[in-house]
Amino acid sequence: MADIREINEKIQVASSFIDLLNLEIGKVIIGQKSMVERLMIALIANGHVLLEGVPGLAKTLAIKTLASAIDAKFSRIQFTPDLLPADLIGTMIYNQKKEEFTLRYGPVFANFILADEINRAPAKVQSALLESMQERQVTIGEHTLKLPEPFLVLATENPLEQEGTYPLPEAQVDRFMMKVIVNYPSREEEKMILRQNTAPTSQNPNAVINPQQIMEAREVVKEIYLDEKIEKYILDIVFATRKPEEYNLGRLKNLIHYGSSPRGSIFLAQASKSMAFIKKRGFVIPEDVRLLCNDVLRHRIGITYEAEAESITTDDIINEILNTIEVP
Amino acid sequence: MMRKIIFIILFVILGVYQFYAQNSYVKVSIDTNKALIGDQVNLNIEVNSKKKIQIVNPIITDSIGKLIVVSKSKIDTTIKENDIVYKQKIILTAFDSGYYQIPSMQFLAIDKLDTSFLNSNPLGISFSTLAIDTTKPIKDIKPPLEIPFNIMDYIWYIIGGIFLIIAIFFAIRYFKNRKPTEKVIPRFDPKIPAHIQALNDLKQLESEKLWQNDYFKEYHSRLTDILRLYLERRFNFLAMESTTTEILDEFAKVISSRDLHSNLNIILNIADMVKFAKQIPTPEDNIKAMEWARQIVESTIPIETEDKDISQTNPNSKND
Repeated sequence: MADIREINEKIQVASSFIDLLNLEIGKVIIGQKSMVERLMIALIANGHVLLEGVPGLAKTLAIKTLASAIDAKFSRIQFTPDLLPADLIGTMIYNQKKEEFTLRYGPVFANFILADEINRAPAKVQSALLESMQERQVTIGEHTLKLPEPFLVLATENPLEQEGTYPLPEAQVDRFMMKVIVNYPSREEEKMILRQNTAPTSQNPNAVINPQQIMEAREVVKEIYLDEKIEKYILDIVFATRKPEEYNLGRLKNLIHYGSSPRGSIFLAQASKSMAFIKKRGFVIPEDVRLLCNDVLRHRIGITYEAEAESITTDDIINEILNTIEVP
Repeated sequence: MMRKIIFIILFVILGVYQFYAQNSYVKVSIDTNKALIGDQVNLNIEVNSKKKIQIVNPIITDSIGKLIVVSKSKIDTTIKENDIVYKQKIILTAFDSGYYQIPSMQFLAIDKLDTSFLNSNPLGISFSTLAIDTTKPIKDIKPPLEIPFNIMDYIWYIIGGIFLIIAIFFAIRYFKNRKPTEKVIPRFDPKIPAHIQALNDLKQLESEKLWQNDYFKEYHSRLTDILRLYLERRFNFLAMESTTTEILDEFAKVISSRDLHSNLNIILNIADMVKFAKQIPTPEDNIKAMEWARQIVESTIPIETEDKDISQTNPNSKND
């Protein structure tokens, strides 16, 4: 028990910035609490987020505000069909004065990247970004350069305009820790948004923490206790996506084309720990897993044509699994 | 006189030529001059000449007259001192009845002095059909011949059949011995009312003295499982698949008693701490958890009416 107490104490100290962050983000972002919470979870768990939602739901504003509140560098990259990898990671430029090639860094050299409409760019550009996400480094010419830490990529996909897009391959989508569906704000929230945007003055977020504190928080998160029962619960959920018939979910067998990869289990455990951190707990409870299950697994499950024909989504499948597997 | 000399010279020259020509001849013969249609007949050609004379054979294509050439042998050459003999055999046939003539064949004999032709004699052959006895009745076509039985002709079929029987035998055995698909073990016996089951299980758990023997995790896991199963059966929501917060939210919807809600909250939260945070509960926590669990069950037992048709719930319940 002493261990958990120690971890709890550490977390109380390390997670103190969460309230400050929420406060600063709340000045600018109204509603979208789930999205902001997931952004913080990904930031603390060293993951990346894929956002899906119609335009105008404060996706860009959220990550920009988060960057401002953390005093970190922010880059927004609009992905277009003519974008080249060099436009993203940088290139070598010939300097006539010095008569040598010099490095020109691309926008990927920032702490927070908003890759807007990632599926509009061709595969090689997507690969360049996804490789930098995975390796946390890029290679330009003969130079291999480390990306700054923390490094969080927030990529958006537009579900309405699918024409002229290059869908992300499953293997690359799998690298995102979470796929968050951003929904419209409630009526009350939209009323407040309306008032805030028509007010004569606007509030800007202050930098309340620095990137170093995030790095320290990541170390503390690793110490959060994850009981064997929770591990089993995570594995049961992930395995139920692969072999549903073994979990009394035979009806899902024809609806699932492929189940979650091991990254699903890893990210679900890491994200649950981060959730516990945000909730200032030194241990993970099933609720943490339940809350993040859809976000972590929805882009890792392939559905069959049969499911598509019946308008069954991966969320429906995950919910069915959650409603069948016993909570420890 | 001069005329005589010229005459003598011409006589000598022509005489010599005549001598040579007379020594070259062609002999053509056939085996028979009567045959049935389709029968094959040998035509033997023999050319005899001096070595010095070059013989050019006539070109024989695929027929001689109206006879069909079945095959031709190579020309066999035999040398006898100053003579040379060429022999060739040609097989002929015909598929129509009638009389056929083998025309005279012309061979060219080339000598240094002159060139002459050697002609063979023409030959005749008649082909006839089979004589049909019209007095006898027409017979049916003969049936296929019976082949004597030989086991070796069927050996591969027999081996294949044996393998098929073995494969079917093993397939049947495999499917018979295969483990039946795991049946879902029901969590409860539907014949036993939820509250009776829950109270019995709590009694059983208490008698096992788990927490007294430091099995805190097992004690609280089982206690909350009994309680969750009871709530699931009693209030018809997925308590076993719900988290603490979800259970409390559902409980609040059906139970108005704040005390019961508070007690359930404490039971579930203590259990969460024990199960997931390695917390060691105090003996009071363990005793209270059991007491409150019993209280929750007893306070929510459905009240049966006299006619037993309609069941009502305890006054603590909202849904009556």
